[in-house]
Formats: sequence, structure tokens, C-alpha cells
Amino acid sequence: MDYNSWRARDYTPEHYVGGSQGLNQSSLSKTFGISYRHILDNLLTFNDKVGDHSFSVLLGESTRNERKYSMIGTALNVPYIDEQSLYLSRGSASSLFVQDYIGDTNPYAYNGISFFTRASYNYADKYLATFTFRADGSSKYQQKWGYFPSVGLGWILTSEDFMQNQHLFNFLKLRASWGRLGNDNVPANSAVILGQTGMASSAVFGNDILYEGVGSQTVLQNTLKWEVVDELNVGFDFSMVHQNLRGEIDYYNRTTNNAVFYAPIASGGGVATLLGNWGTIRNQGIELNLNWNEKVSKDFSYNIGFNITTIDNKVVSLNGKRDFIPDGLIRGNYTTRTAVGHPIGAFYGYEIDGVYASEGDALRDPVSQDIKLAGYFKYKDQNGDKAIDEKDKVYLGSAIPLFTSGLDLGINYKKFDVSVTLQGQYGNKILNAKRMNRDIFTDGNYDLDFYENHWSENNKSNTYPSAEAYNKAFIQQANDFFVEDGSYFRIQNVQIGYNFNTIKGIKNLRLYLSAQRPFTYFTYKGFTPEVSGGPTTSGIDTQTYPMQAIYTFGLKFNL
Amino acid sequence: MKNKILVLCLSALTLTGCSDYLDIRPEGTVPSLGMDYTKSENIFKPVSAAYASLRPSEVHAFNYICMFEIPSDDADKGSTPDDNPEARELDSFTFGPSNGLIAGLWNGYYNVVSAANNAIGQMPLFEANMMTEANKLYARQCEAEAKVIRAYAFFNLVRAFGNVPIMDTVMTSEQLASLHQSTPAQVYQFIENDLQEAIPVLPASYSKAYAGRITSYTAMALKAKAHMYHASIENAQANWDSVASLTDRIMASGRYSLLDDFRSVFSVDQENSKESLFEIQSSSLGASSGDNYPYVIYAYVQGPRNNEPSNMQGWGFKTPSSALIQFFTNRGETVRAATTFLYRGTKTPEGDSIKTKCPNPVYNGKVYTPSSYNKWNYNGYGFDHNVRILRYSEVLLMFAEAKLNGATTGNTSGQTSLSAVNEVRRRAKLTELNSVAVQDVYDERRAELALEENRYFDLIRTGRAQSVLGGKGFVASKHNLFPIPSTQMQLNTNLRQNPGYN
Repeated sequence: MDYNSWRARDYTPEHYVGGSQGLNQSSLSKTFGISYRHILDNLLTFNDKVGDHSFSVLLGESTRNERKYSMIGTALNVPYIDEQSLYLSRGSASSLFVQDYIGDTNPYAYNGISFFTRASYNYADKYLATFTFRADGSSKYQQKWGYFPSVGLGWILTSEDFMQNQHLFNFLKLRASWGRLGNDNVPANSAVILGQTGMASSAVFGNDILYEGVGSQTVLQNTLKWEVVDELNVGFDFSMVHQNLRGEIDYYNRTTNNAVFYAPIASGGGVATLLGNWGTIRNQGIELNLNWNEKVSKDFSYNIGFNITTIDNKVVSLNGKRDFIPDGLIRGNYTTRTAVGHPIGAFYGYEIDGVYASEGDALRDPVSQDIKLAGYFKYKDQNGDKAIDEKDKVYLGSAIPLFTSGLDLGINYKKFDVSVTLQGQYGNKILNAKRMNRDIFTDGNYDLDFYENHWSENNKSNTYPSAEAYNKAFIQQANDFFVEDGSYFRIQNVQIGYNFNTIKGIKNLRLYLSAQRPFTYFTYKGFTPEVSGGPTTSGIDTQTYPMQAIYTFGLKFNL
Repeated sequence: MKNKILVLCLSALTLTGCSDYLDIRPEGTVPSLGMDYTKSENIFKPVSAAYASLRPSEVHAFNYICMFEIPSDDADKGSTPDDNPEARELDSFTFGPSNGLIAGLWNGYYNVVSAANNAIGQMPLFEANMMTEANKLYARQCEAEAKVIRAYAFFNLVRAFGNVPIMDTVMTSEQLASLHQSTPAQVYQFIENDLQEAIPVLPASYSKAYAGRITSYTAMALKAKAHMYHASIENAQANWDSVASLTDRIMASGRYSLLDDFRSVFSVDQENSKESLFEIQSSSLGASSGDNYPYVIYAYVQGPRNNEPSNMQGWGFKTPSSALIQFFTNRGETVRAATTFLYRGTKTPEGDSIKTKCPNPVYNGKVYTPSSYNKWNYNGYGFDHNVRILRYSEVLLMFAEAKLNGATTGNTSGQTSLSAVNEVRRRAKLTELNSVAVQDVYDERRAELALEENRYFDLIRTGRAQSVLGGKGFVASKHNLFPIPSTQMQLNTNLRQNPGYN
């Protein structure tokens, strides 16, 4: 059982900064909320062993519910005397306003039931098999029940007779599994058409008389089915060299069927996006995990760990509903496109073929585009029809990396220990929407990089546009100036510690210094390459704050 | 065989029927399909939501002024020179399908269509469940109101985009994504149909508590205007005849007349007056701050920029052009000039100053709201100003234009094209004309309806846009229609772009 409650209070006093920034009357808002989750699991397990055969069977049932409710009240003209005087009822009565419905996220209710069984079999610790079956019911889907089997097989080769004489592997296990699981981690209040009430649905007539209205969308909600993930995994675990070297290597193929997410729809239905089982997406790749552990002497030991995961993401089908799904609306244009054969939410825009160096260059270029002047991008005419239009947009990469990797180092020498974790990813792209959104106003700030490198008569760059071009909607579109390489390498963690002997009754005294994220290397022009987003809007940086580096000095002991 | 039974956890299960447990309706919502059709007080609710859909900024404030007036020769973009690059594109005819203001207006008006379709679809359900004849009639009247709202939305869509898809029912998202565009002639036909069905059903007037609701005369005036635009596409004679007979009917009813004081036509006091046939209602409900009120920011986005105090300032867009001021001066306009132009460095008759520090020399005076009416806390100017859509003076001028274009109908009110134009001029304290030609009507429209989102489309429909706006960048074969937004073309791959745009 999980129970959360929260309270917040926000007070803005009367103030005047200048121009239109200020407040004539103080404003107080208070939020109260609770959320809770109950999970009731009932399990029945049966184990037995007959000679070399051992098996176990599990039967289970799980019931869960989640609820969330909150309320926010605001009032104006609450005079500030001290903390204890800040109450909504001390404000002006006519300004008191309470709200308990804030759309999709609040309130929230969800119920789920599952029945599941697992059977596992082990023959002489040599051959292993597991079979599971689940039936999951969720209130979030209109097709409420999903059925999910999975099977796994394992073969411990080093237990076989023919492996007893080799000395290469201390342990070698081959395994393969195939499983199907349902995912109901989707917005709860989504499958039904809701009546919209409130001010935006109410008209006013006569002498300011409000008439409550009820609006409703005129596009039917999609019937939602379970999002089902099929995963195939083949790999082997091994250990070698007196178990100093351990490793796992896997090939995985994960297909998400009937993936549920919001997709934009044409105007006329009264809503901008619709939740649906829009498509099937496949991720596949190799995962490798290696670990070397060596105790060189009584005083000195070290370990090195390395992992790498490759990712190949592709949309396999859009369930025949659409040719493609555009998304990532920035400045009135879509910047991503989800289509069969490409990664989900791949960036889609113009390739840049340089910057016009002069009026003459622009005039001499036979390709026509909306604006052709010195300092403006020359977009690539992909189809050779001598005109730049929607047909010349291409896929510019995706926010999904080609691989992610990590390295762990640890050294233990006498009472010292040092550990370092490195991490990185390569091949992902980021759309610098911060530049696209901020820099459109000529009286706004530019980032230093643009200021130093922009095209001008004295600096005829072939990659940066001029300051004038920079503000034009034609330049401010998804193109490979704004779609940047998001690869990075980071020192995730460094820790140095010293363990003392027991001193005067203080046991296990440990002194440590640690740094989290002390260093990150990336070429992306924003603050940080870690940009999140939804499935079709990943990697769009509109206002991501830089990641902090945290330095800690610590002391740990027992008394 | 040893059985080892491990029981980890066992509790009594008190679930009632598994599937009931999973059937929960989202919290805090009203099931629209669960509307109680037997209660007469619910009849107006979907229609109320349809009226409310006319308020967003994309429908009747920022995008509206940027697309429907700023491109004309009567208005400049306004605000500071660098403000809002997309509005700058509209002012200089450098916009394309990726312009966000154009995409926003398309989306806003289709939301109005959706809200109207929702209301129209529910009215028959009410009618079937009502017991009394009076309630059944009321349901039909409300359906007619929603039809007028739908016709109005399509009227603005067809003037702006020409080739737009018609929608009149609930659809699946696949159906929405595969609609084909109709030609402008087909859209006008649809509009006129909706209005034709609505006119006989709508009431002639409402009680004071409902002042501002759509009457049969609202529908007649809108239909007349639709025919006036339709005449420039096909069937000129038949369309002008319709304009004349509809406006004649409005004039003959005696319900409408011009207010004596031109300035008061645009005041908060005289909203929904006897001169008004259709206004988009806007109200702050007497509040002093907050954004959850039924106001339209039409006046706010045109308010004097950087003026003081802060509740007497706005964004400063859509400023009167020097060409318009010159036009007024040449005509000897006094009354209308005093109301239409709000100069900086002056004091209004109501006592408010427009400071000299405002960046623009002149602002739209028709949206001026005196400070005595403004209870807003900060940055809230003109929240009680209704957007004037159809006025009786336009009815008179449409009548005159129809007659001068050869309309033979519309002879019951006793007005002639000359008398109609002179009635408008008299109110503006101008000398009456002895004879009137169609250019006089065009000029009178320009002076009377200045900055009321008519000039741009008037120029296009009368074929004068190229000569008047050519200097601004207008190209007839391209700019007589706005481009279909590129976002919409990606969401419905059946849409075809308008000629001249990529």
C-alpha cells in the first residue's frame, strides 16, 4: 500500500517591477492532495523434487487500485502579517475560487485485476524451463482483458559431461526466452468521450449573465486495446579465468504491438490529439555485460565492468490507419514524423546545402525557395524539381541512440577504495527548439555560439545563417542546423573513500568524497544533452535545465 | 513424496464481479452521452458551449485581426516593428503554409464547427424527449442557433481559405483524416442552406437576460452577407437579389435602426443595441483578475501599448494606417474620425490619456474602453468589449450595393440605394449625396466599417485587391486565398494546397 499526501502554499505579495510586470493585489493559493495505491497479492506456491527433477508451480492473483485527488484554492488580497495569517478566507470573498478538476492528471482513478501462474522445472541443474501465463484486466482499456504467455529455456553447458574436461569456462549457460506482456502504463482517463463543462464551455449574454454549457468533442474516441510487448531474448552467461571474468551477452528483439500514445488529428473533431493503438514498434539489439574482478593480493583488488547496448528502433506498422503521424509542433510546424521503416518520432525536415554568400549566388541558383537572399540557408532540393517544398523534407535522425555504454572501475587498496563510473551514448539527435522558440524576436537574447559564428558580410559562414535570416519562419523549421548531435560522454560518479579501524568505540568509520556528474562532454549547443519527451516527441529541447554536478563529503559510522 | 506447500499470503477476496471492478468512469467528468434529454433546462447547454467556442483568441482576437484586417491598406501591424514575425509576414504578404497564425485560425474555426455540430446533433434527441410543444419548439430554435454559428464559422473559413472540407456530423478520426475539400461555391451553398433552414425557426428577439443571442434577423443579415460574397463567384444576379430581399426584410421589420451617437455604437453601455445584429459576447463578469472568465481579448490586443495605468494598455496591434487617416481627412470625416482614431498624446472625452511614450502614433479607437469601466487588476484592457460582427449600417450598405448591382427584389421597406447610403451618412454628420454609384458605396463601407475586419475581403471580392494592395506585396493569383496550413495537410493527406503556395 502506498499513500501520499501533499500540501502547498504559494503567496505572491503586491508588487510592481515595471511595465506590465506586477500585481495590484496579493494572491494566495493553496493545494491539498492525496494519492494512494493498494495492491493485494495472493500467491500459492507448490515446490517438489523427485530425484534430479525439481519443479515449482505458482498461482497468483493480484488486485490493485490507484486514486489521486487534489484541490486548489486561490484568493486575492490576503494581507501578510506573518506565516500564520496566510489563509484563503482572509482574502476578498468575491475572489475566492476553488478547483478540483485539472484535466487528465487530476483526479485519477484506476483499477486492475490479474491472474497468473508460473511453472518452472529444473533437471539436475542442467536443463531449465519456465512457463508463465498471465491474464490482466485493466480499467484503462475498453478491451479490458489481455492474455500473456511466456516461455524460457536454459541449458547449463558446464554441467554436461562433455564440458567437464575443458578449462576455458567455469560456467557457461545458454538461454532463450520468449515472452508477451501487457502494458497499461497509459493515461487513465482517456478511453471515453467526456462532457466538457466550465467557463470555456459557457456563454455569457445580457448584462453579464453566465449560462452553463456542456460541450463535447465530435470525433469518436478510439477503442483502446492492451499495449502488448513481445520479447525474444537469446544469450549466454559465462564466467572464466577462475571466475574473475564474468559476462552476459544477449540478443534482444522487443516488439511493442498496439502501442498506445497520443497522436495529432485533423481539425474538426474538437480535440487536437487522440489516444489510440497507433502502431507497432520494434526495438532490437545486442546487450553485452562484462565484469573483471581480480584480487591481486591481500591488500589490493580491483574490478572493471563494461556494458554496451545497441538499439535499432523501427516502426513496423501503423495498423493501417495512417501513412504517417506527424508531431513535435514547434512554431506552427511539425518537426517529427513517425512512419513505417523509420524510428518512432524521427526528426523530419530540410537538409541544408550551405548558406547563400551573396545576392548573386542566390539569383544564379536555379532552385526556387520561399526566401533566397544572402545569409539564408540553401535547402537541398532532394527530388531535383528545382523547387523547395514539403516534398524536399527528409528524415534527419532520431532521439534514440545507436548505442549506450558504461564503464565501471573499482580499486581497493588497503583501507582506500576508489570507484569511477563512466557512461555515454552515441548517435542520438536533439532538436534545439530553445533556439527555435527564443531567438525569433530580434530584441531577445541569442546564445554565445550563434553570436560568435553567425553569417555576416565579414564572416561568410556556410553553416550559420545571418541574424536577419534567423528570425524568419522559413529558416526556423526542422532542419539539420536545429537538429543537432546529442551524443555525450559523462563521468557519472567518482568516489574515494577511506575506512578507519575502530576508534574509541566508533565502529566502521568511513570518510568519503564523491562527485556525481562532475564532467560531461557533448557538442550539443543547449545546456544538457539529456532531453526527454513522449514517444513521438523525444529529444525536443524547449526548456531543459542543465544537470547539476553534486559534490559530497561524507562521514559514516556506527556507535 | 513430500509436498511442500508454501502459502505466502491468503486473504478473503471480496471482489464483486471482476468486470464491474474494471468499469470505472473517469473522475470529475460528465458523460456526454449521459446527458439527460428529458430535462428542458439542459436544451441550451450544448448551444451555450457552441457560443463559447467563438471566444478564443484564434477565432476573434489575435489571429482574427492579423489575417482579416492587418493585410489591408487600412491597418498596419502595430506594436513595435520587430514584434511577432508571423504578423509581420501577414502585413507584407510574405506568409506561407507554415505560418502559425494561419494554422491557428483554421483550427479555431473548425473547433467552432465541431461545437456547433455537437449541439445540432443533440437537439433532435431533446425534441424527441420533450413533452410540451413549447419545449419541442425551443429545441428546434436552439438547433437553428447552432446552425447559424456553424454557417458563420464556414463563412469565415471560405473567405479565408476558399477550398475547405465541410463537416456536419460526428466522425471517426479516420473519416476526419480523409475528408475532401469542397469548392467555395459548394461551401456557400452549405452556408446558405443552414441559414435558410434557421431563419423561419429562430425567434425575432430575446429577453434582456439573453441579449446577444442569435435572432432570425441575425441569420438574415449573415445570409445577405454570404450572398454578397457568393455573387463574386457565380450567379451574380440571383445572389444580389437575395442580398436585396434579405436586407429589405430586416429594414422593413422596424426592429433595427442606427444609434444617434456613432461613438456609442462601440461602447460597453450600448452593446447589443438596436443597431446590433450580431456581436461576440465578452465579459469579465466584474472580476479584477484571473484568466478563467468569458472574455475575448479582441480589444486588449489592440489596446495602446505601454500606456499607463497598466489596465489601460494592450499589445498595440492593428493600428490605423496613414492611408486610412488620409482617406477620412479627404472625405471631411469628423464624427467617425474622432471615434476610429485614438492618437497618442491626447486625452479622450471620457478623460483617459494615451501617453506620448506609446510606440505607435495612433490606435484603433473603436475598441477603446474608458477606465471607469475597467475593474481589472493589471493588464486587462477591454475585457468587456463585445466584438461587433454585423451592424444595421452594414445592412443598409449591403442593400445599396445590391441595388446598384442590379438587384430587382427588396422593395417593401421603401428604401432606395440612395436613401440607404444617406441614412448612414446623416448619422456620421456628413452631407447627403444627390446620386450614388457603386464606388460611393465602397467608400461609405470603408469609412463606416473601418477596422471592423471587412476591408481586406471587400477588396478581394470586388476585384480591387491587386490595384490597392499590389504595393504591399499582394499577388492576385495567389493571395486572394490564404494557404491551407501545412500542419493540416500532414494530418489529412487528401487536402490540396491553394494555387501559388508550395
